[in-house]
Amino acid sequence: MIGGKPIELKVDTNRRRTLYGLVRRRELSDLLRLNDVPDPLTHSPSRSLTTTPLQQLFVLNSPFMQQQADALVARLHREAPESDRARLELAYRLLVNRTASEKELELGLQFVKDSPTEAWSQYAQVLLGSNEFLFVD
Amino acid sequence: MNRIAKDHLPFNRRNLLRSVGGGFGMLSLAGLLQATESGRVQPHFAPKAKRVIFLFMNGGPFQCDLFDPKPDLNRFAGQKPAGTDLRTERPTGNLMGVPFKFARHGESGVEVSELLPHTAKCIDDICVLRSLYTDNPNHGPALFMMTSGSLTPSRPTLGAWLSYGLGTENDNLPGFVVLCPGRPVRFAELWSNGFLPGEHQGTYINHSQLDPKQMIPFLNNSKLSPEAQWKQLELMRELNAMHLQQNRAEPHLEARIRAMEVAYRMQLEASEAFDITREPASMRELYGKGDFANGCLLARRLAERGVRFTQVYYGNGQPWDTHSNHTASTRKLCQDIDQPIAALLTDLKQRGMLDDTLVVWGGEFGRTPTTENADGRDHNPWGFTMWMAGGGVRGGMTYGATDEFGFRSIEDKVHVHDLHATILHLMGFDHAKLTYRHAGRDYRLTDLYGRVVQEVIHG
Repeated sequence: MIGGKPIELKVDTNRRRTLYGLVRRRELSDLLRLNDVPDPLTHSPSRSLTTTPLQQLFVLNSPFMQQQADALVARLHREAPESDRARLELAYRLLVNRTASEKELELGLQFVKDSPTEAWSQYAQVLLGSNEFLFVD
Repeated sequence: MNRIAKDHLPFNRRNLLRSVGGGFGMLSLAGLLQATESGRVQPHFAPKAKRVIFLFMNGGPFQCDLFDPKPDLNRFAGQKPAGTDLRTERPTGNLMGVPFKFARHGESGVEVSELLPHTAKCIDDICVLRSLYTDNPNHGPALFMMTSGSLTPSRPTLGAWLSYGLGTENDNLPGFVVLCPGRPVRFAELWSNGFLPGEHQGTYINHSQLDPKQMIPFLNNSKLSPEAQWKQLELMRELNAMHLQQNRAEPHLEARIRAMEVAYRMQLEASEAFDITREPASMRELYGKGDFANGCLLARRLAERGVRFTQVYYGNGQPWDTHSNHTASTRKLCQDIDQPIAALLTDLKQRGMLDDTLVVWGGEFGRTPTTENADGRDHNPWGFTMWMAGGGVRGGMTYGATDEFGFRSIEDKVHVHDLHATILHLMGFDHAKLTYRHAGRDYRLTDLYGRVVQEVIHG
């Protein structure tokens, strides 16, 4: 949808571009603030790029990441119900658009076998937090 | 990756600016690359202080109640002599007397009011600056001036400049921390990184809740044990390392791998650092009770652990802004701050940290000797008091003077820019040379102004 009212960034139903996010100048959203959103009070010629531990705390611990990981796991189970291996292969296809290497499949299988209940969610979070997924090439 | 954006250049921008700004010309590329590895920037000259604790009395305290005795104020109370009609935020009435007694303290004999008996015992370590002045009588602009050297917002703040210039001594904690048991007026604008990279912004902590998990966003994982998380981290490390093999030229990848390690350690270290319940009962008693006491104790813990700049706001909103009921409010406010201030200075001294920790105290402006609402005082940008202690500052002295009623600074005036220049100097920087290129020109904390007040510096 183009145009229209702004939407709260954090709301679950938000599927729109960040351009339409509601910005409170004095209370920037944590996610944006941690990731170098330019100061909304002034002009910015470009966005500075920083890499900070506080950003990684978000990746490791935020409810947002946990929810996204859970959603990914649900999708993998839905679309590749046959086996762990199939799910791993699908994950790589979806997230980084390539075939997983044998080594990567091995690592993944090992990880999810070690603790079956939460393991998939934790694994999904690792993939979502990995450099290959998060950095745009 | 074909095009390399300017931020991906393999040398550190700070080092580049530093070398050019320092007048030494361009260092060799190899030299710059070497400097980049550590990521640390050297101060311009040997610093006297390694860290700053700024005790911010938001709202503006009245100097003549505390550190600037004015007998004429009481002598002429109820009158409006010439020179007391300076324009402030609102119209004010006649002079209102000060019911608090002053006495000389310590070996230096500097005068302190009866409202601060504990602080008075530390006066020999304190340099009282009686001649501060700023450029605007309103909270917003004055707050911005005190925090960022400009009346308008969106400039980098003092803590951000120091973070940019020095980095942090402890990678596992944020380098610029802001403590407030609530939200000060203007909030995050007061610790903004402005146009400096986002990593230099202050980390805001509401310390009214003493549990560290409530203080730092996303500090802990609600679902995973540390062991489970460690396994995640190991997997992440392997995957990222394999990815790095194929993308060697990208500094951000390695930086993020490092940042992830630090984040993991930060969970533990910040959980420990921000937990004042780990302090012995004797320490808690020394500082006393209340949010400001806790803030000061926290500040000391952070200073011990290498946090470069900690700003402790006295309270939510602007509690020192006593437009009415001034005298009674001031008694209460001073009760809250007196013991913690003395505890902080004594504590730092006992740990051998006072010499290289600069403690600054003050608000965004002062208050008028003339009255508002018959029992209040208005904002006073013309003259107010701040003090500094430790970090290379000469204690047991006063600098500068206001007029006979304590309204306007008239002798050895110290503008906020001069204060900033002095703080930067103590931290090892020439304030005119700590710059950052933005919007086509070099910016600095002190803009085009600022004079280092040499007279208050040791040796």
